[in-house]
Amino acid sequence: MVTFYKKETKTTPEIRINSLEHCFSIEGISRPENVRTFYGETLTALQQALTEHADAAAPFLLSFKMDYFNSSSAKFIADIMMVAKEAGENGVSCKIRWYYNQEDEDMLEVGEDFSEMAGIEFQYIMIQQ
Amino acid sequence: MEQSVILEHEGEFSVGRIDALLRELKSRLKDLSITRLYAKRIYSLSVECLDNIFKHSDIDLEEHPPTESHPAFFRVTQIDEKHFCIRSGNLTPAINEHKLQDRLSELESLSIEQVNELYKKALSNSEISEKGGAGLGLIVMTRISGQKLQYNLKRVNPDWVFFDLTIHLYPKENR
Repeated sequence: MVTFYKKETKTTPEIRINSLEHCFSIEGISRPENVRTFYGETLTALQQALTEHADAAAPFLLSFKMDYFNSSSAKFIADIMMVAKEAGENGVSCKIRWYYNQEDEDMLEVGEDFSEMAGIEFQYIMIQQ
Repeated sequence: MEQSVILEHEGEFSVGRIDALLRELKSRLKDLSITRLYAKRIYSLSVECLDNIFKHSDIDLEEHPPTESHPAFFRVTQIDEKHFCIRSGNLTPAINEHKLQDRLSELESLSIEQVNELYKKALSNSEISEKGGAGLGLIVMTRISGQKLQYNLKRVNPDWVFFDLTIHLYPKENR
């Protein structure tokens, strides 16, 4: 079983992974000082959770509710998408929910770019103010 | 209206200093009559500029960088009601000059649609450097601003180049 949690800080998002609940979520702001360390641990835990999920009937849900992320973080968010894509190719069903603020059309566009890059369909959810 | 400096800093750019600058910027942007999205674009461009300065802030002092004569700087200016300018400058080793010039020239030659395609390719192909850079910063700046980046690479001495970058931001309908 994989449970992974990173608390939100002023420069890093909250991250939760729970293989029993079949979910990954990332929420907040991302401009970590050491982006490789921060996301390296997350990617390892997510890969492990998805491997354990291989025989599960329910889909694994990945939720992205970002307020802001810098360009270095974008690279790692792309890596998370690619991990989900690979899992999908290995028979693990993944669903991606991309949240964006109704005033933030840029966040919607970025989500569409990630979706196109990874070749995964996203569910877009607008957050009303 | 007359143009006004929203925020500026010159000299040292530590993690703490950058955090303080970004907090101050956020607070000052809230006082302006601009949309949250527009304020976020100014903030995002500022983070990319400050990240860029920070990645070059640990340059080896034994290499004698001319920081006293060419200190790093960052400035956000409101030119008129909806036109903002984000400008930054920092020293970089001369060995980086060609790579940087090539990336800037490439971006200069592309349409915004082509820049968006380059962004998607770079997301899946780029590697994170030791300093945490993905080489996406300049692409992201061009995407957000929708404008060509203005820059100057000035050779300060045989070993050092000063990278001066100016980004103009207008509302999307005026691009």
